[in-house]
Amino acid sequence: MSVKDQKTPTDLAALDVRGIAKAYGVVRALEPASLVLRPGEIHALVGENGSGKSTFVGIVSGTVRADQGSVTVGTETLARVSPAVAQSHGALTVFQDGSILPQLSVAQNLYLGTPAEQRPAYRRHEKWAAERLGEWGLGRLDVTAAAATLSPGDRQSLEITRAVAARPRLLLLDEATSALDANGVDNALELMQRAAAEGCAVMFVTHRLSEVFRVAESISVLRDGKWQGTHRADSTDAKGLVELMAGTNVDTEFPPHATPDEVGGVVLSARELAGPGFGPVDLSVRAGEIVGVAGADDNGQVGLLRGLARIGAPSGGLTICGRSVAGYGDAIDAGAIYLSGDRAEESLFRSLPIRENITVGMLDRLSRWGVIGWQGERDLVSETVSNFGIRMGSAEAPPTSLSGGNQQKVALGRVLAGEPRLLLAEEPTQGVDVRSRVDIYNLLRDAARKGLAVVLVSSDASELVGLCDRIVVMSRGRLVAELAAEGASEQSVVDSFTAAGHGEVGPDAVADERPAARPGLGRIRELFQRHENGPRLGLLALMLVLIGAYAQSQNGIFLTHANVYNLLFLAMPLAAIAAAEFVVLFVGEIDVSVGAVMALTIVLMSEFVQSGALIPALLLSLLIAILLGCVVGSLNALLVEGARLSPFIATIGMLGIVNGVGLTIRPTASGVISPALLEGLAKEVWVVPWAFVVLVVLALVADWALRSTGTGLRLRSVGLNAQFAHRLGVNSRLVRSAAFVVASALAGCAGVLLSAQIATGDQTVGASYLLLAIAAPVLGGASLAGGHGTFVGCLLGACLLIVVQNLTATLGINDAYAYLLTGGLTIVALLLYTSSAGAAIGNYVRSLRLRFGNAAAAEEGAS
Amino acid sequence: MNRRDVLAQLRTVTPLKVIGPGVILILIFSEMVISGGLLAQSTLSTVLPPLSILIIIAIGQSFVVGTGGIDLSVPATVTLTGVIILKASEGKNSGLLEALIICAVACILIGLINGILVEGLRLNPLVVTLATGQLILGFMRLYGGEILPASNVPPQLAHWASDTIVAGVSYLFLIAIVFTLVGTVFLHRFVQGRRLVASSAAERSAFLAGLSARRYRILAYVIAALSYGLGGVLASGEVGTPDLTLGDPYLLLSIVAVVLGGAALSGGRVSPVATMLGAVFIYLLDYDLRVKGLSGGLREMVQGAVLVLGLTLAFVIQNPPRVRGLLARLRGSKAPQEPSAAA
Repeated sequence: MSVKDQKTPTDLAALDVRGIAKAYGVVRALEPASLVLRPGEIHALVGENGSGKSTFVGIVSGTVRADQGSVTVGTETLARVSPAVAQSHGALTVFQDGSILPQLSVAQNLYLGTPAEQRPAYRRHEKWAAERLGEWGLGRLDVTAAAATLSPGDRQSLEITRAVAARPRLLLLDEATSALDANGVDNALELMQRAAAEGCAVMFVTHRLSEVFRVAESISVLRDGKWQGTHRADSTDAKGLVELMAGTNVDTEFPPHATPDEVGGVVLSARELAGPGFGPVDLSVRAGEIVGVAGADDNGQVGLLRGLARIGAPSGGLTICGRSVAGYGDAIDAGAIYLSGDRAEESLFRSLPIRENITVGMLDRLSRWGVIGWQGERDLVSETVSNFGIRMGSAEAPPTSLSGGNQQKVALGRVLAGEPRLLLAEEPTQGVDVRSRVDIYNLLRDAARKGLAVVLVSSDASELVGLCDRIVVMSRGRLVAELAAEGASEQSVVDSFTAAGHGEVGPDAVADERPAARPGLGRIRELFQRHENGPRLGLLALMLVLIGAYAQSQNGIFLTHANVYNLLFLAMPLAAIAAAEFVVLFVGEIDVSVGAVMALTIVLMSEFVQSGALIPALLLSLLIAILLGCVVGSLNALLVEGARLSPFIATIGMLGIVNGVGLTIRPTASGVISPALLEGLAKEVWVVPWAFVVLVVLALVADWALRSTGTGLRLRSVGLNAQFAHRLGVNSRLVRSAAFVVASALAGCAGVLLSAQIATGDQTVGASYLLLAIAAPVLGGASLAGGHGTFVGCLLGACLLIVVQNLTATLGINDAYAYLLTGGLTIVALLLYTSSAGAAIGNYVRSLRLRFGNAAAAEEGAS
Repeated sequence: MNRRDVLAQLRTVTPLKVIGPGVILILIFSEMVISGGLLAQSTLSTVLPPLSILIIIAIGQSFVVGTGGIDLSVPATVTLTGVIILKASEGKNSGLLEALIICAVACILIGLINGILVEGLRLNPLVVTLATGQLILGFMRLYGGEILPASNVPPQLAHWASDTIVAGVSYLFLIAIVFTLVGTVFLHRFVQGRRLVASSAAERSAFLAGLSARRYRILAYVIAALSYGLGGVLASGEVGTPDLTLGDPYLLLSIVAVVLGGAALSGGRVSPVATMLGAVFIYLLDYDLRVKGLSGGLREMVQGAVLVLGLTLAFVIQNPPRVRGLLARLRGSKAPQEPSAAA
């Protein structure tokens, strides 16, 4: 059946792209490209890594802003660069690195990524999700399970299904089959055909040509950001496409391979090396040899390369130049160096001059008694610049002023300046122009002739064949084949890891071998991760009870009516300001100006609410609080979200301004606040101040809304991963701006509650809430990364802090302990609830164990 | 350096080129505002000592800001050194050395704890340093006891902190200048300093280049705490009777000075000279406003506003295309919006 038969020639274009282009600094990621897609057409966009495919998809899907050109989906041109806008026009995208939030359930993920008009009421989302997945052939997934428990393949299937099920006008898939096995690929291709049959235009980006010829009608090729034209699938073949993708290599001349006498002794030897995503692997590399690691995307090549430098504490044996290597530091000492493919984050120092980039690894050799010599440094820089043919203006400019090729030469110059014995290079020519590419090949071969051993990971088959002496092929994290460069061709390399020709066998890919249910401890941990709030709140409540019991046993007055009331009365404003801070923390921001806003509210109350009956005074105070909050919150939002200033510094500046206003109005504590209001606020229900009861009710309602409504889910998604939320069409910036405004308004209301204690206009009362306002939500389980915690937790956290602070008075001990306990509890809570802290400790323990294990093994060998 | 290099350096916007003219303006303004002029001996002797202390503390803060962090334990650390001086020396010259040693040890500990919690355990720098600030205040109360044995610092320290070299220029200012210069040379020409800068600027790149990046980033916190300690000791000597509010002004002021010194602009490369000029700017502005009779409240407001404006200025200089886009949108044209790239 041909898809073409179902469309009429009069159909309007589903997608009309005209002359879109994008440059990052001096690197031209995409030169003007145009494309028209008709409904029901399946179009493949192919190209090597760094050829501009993702930039093209990014512009069409609204995540990347084009420098020029226009995108029209259906009848309307996209006016703004935003995934939400693209989606509202019917363009849905499945992104390369996904947009599934692992902390949420399958059903919640499906709900989040589905256009608003197709979503059911949130309370029915699980039933709806099960039906929808069943309808599209994914009924085997448990919709209540956390997405984290899915295998990478299932996660990708879920994303594809989510997009197809929404019946978009245009479906974009960016390398959406990379984690799928043969079956998964079959299903995905079938889904594409089903979508096309319903009139959807499908554009899929891939470098797997076998998939291209199975479904695509037309094919476009990108190379080095340049559009290589659109071809009909039946008028071209795999060989022709490979030539277009690689540029037939007319202009690429590779240096000769190593002759046998150029290859020396073993430099690197790995035994049973295994780490995240790869292994166990045995590999040995000799001096003078360039070894290439090939494989389809995400089959553990980069993991292995890092493992060979002992980065990320992999297990197994590793020897470099005869020395046992237990950490990256050892690897460096043994003469190895790692060159990352991520130039921006991992191989260059973007804010430092080119000169310092080149010499950073050579400082010991350039210095005497720790002082770097001018002449030596200058000589090294000019030597590197001329040897490596770096074309640049000035060595004092940052490397960001250079083209991709010259940036890579700077990075390569840095690593080779130290004359290493082993170079581990990740995609050494990615995003590099052809001329620099040839330079880099020659530089690597020259270094190899002088005895350097090189292992490189590349997704460019022609590069592997042309440059490397030996190619090892990875699949599912293991070495599955080894090819000698002599006699190998691009096709034989690609064949070794992908399907031969247009056959039925799908490419191997990493299928997660982790069983769904982990036994014992793992299972309990998983349960905790899914239902984190229960244990966190329980722990907090338990601490309150224990401290309370201890205090009561030491001093009988602790549990008296008066004392309990008093503590809750003190906790009330802290609980409110903690809730205010929590609003910001929940979406992944921070605001240190809340305490000052709270104090300024009281100062303003001492000006404007000096008398009056309870209700009018209360309403007026709340009005003041909310107005003030809106002003300050909007300014914070403008600075942090509008101008993207650091929230730390911007809100500290706001803290200064707000405090200054307060101190100008009331340089010292003075003024009165309506006695009726103060009395009214102090009224109690049984032992609880009534305002505290209101806070508890509001907190419960807010927590319910966060957990059980679609809006709550969208807010949470912003906190969990703002980038994914943005891709799913949630306006992250608007949400975060609103959070700043709401937080400041709540902080103002907290000021109204605090006025019952202070009773006079005093700006300085805000200072003590600087830490407390953040400490209480953190104790209550909020994470500074966002997306975690509860309002009830804030209340409990506030109570705990107040009890601890008053413990010193109850027990008659030095008030120093109040400070120590507050600071200590905050740090402990941070440690408990910051997942990166756990990871950091885990890494450290693993590397220690590795070092210790190796030392023991060495001793054993010696004896 | 050849001519091309010089030209390239002239063209690039550096923090110094922004704060430099700012300082010249504020100097002219001060000359006009202050009766007798800025260079009158009486003016210099009131302005320079507190300014010198701010310079030293702000340079400390800039080391932390250079790593992308922030240190809010400044006031507690400064206050702690005051208490240590009083407690350990009991106000006697003979106890001064011992007090200074205790101060140094305490500051190294504080820096290590901050650094290990933030860099070693990857906790949020803002909350960690607020919390360690509380811990410091707690330990200070335990250490100091109910009543401190003296309320005056040893006379030697007080004398020395107020002594002048010539015409109102105090030793404190000399120390601040030397501190700035030593810091600059250390960061540019010493192996350890270069590695510290590289590790602060790009931690992953530094690690893969073979540096103990995390250790250098922790070192930045230790250097910062030691600078606060030095500032605290000098401040104690300058006021003579340090109390529990000794450190309070330095939280906001140090951050303002660092931001004006262009930390946000240069990202990673901390410039002690630019930070010093930032401190000069904000301190002189504050002083001028005080001379003009502005209240403490208004002056704090100005500090906050200068901080926000300084940040905004750095943003404008760094992102000319974005600013042009914003302006275009303000004029009502339908320029496409920047996608909100998430953190």
